[in-house]
Amino acid sequence: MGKVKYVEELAALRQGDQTILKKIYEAHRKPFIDWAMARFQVKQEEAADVFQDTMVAFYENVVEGKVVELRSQMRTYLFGIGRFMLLARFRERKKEIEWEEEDWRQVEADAKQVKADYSIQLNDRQAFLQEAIAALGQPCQQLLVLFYYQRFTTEAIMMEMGYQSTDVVKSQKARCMKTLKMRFKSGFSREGI
Amino acid sequence: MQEKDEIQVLIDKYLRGTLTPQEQVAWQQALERPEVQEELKLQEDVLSALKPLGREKLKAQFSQWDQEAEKTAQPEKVRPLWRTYAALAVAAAAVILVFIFWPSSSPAFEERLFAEHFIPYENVVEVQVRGSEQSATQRSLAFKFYDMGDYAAASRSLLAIPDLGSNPEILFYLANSHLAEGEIDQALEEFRLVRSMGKDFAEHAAWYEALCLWPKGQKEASISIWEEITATSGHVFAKQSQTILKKLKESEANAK
Repeated sequence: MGKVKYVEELAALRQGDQTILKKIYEAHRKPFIDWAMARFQVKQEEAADVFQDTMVAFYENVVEGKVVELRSQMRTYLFGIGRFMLLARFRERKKEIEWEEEDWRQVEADAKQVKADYSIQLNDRQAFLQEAIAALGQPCQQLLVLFYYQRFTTEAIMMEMGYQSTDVVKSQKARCMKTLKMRFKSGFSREGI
Repeated sequence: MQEKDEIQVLIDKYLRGTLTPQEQVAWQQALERPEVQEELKLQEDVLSALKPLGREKLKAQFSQWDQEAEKTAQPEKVRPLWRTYAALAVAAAAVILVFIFWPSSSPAFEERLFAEHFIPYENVVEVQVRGSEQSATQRSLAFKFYDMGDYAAASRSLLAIPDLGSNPEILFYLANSHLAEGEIDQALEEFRLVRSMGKDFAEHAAWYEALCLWPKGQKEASISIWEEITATSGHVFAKQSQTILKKLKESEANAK
């Protein structure tokens, strides 16, 4: 079993550090695309698309606390997720080409952490909430995404959305959530779901 | 009220995995209460419900980084100053508002087209303009809002600028602000006006007019404008238009 790696970077990422995310994204994009094109015979656009999906899955794994450290190199881990994604996409086309990475065993070690199922299944409550969120208006949607999904701090949201202070961010978030809860409670119970 | 706020802080920290050991104890105690359990459940569901939007936002961010990297990698060409600023602006354009017209499922390229390609044009004019003291202040304020991504406030401020109707630059950014706010008809009218003036940003307005027409279902008109742009030598949006046309052809071929 390899040495534990990237603990600090992943912790920073979990707190919404976009600088780290950008660094990881930029460092691995071209190698990933080259690799995917060579190994899976996909076009550059498709490889780039899979890389974005890979980074989203990686990001979600990290912010949801499913991945707090790695035992393989970051590259190996990301390529491992990408491989799952490519295989899922091209299963029917039977395009898998033998994996030759030397450190594949490390990928196997991390594989249990890989979120292979990338699809989103929402239950009735969540689907209703999704509609209620869509009705909130763009500023509230953006704020909630930044806070809940991207894990931005209130300071980072203040900078991103141009609010005057973190107190304004907090009160705005409270207002958005209050509206959302009201719509959810009245609408969801009325529909009797 | 204070206790409610404290519970909210604990929930936020729990969801982010940042509870301290002491807070962990307080959290466990709080979690015994049904109303706290209910609140947590709701916020976990909100998080799940936000995931599709979050993914699109994140991918938009990735695409922006791609554009920046691509632009950085290209050699500089000699061109008029405003075009240089404009090109830099395209490369640095920061926000994609995927929320406005974007369904949560996985739509085809045609359905994603607007969300993927609409980026409010970056402010590249504020530094070049001098006006009266009053209008300069109003203008600065408007572009401050614009730069912050507060397009509603930017629209209001831009509308208050004197000589708006005869100033294609201001009209162009007003149209961008309206489009960012989802006011397509208003934006379309303004982009058309900018084009008809034939001055600064007329070329740019063509691109945005085509984008406005697409979600309105006037796809033939959009395609016609993109073809026109592609055929125009040195058009600032030639590359983007080519890309869209190419993808549309591929999409059409795949559908057959």
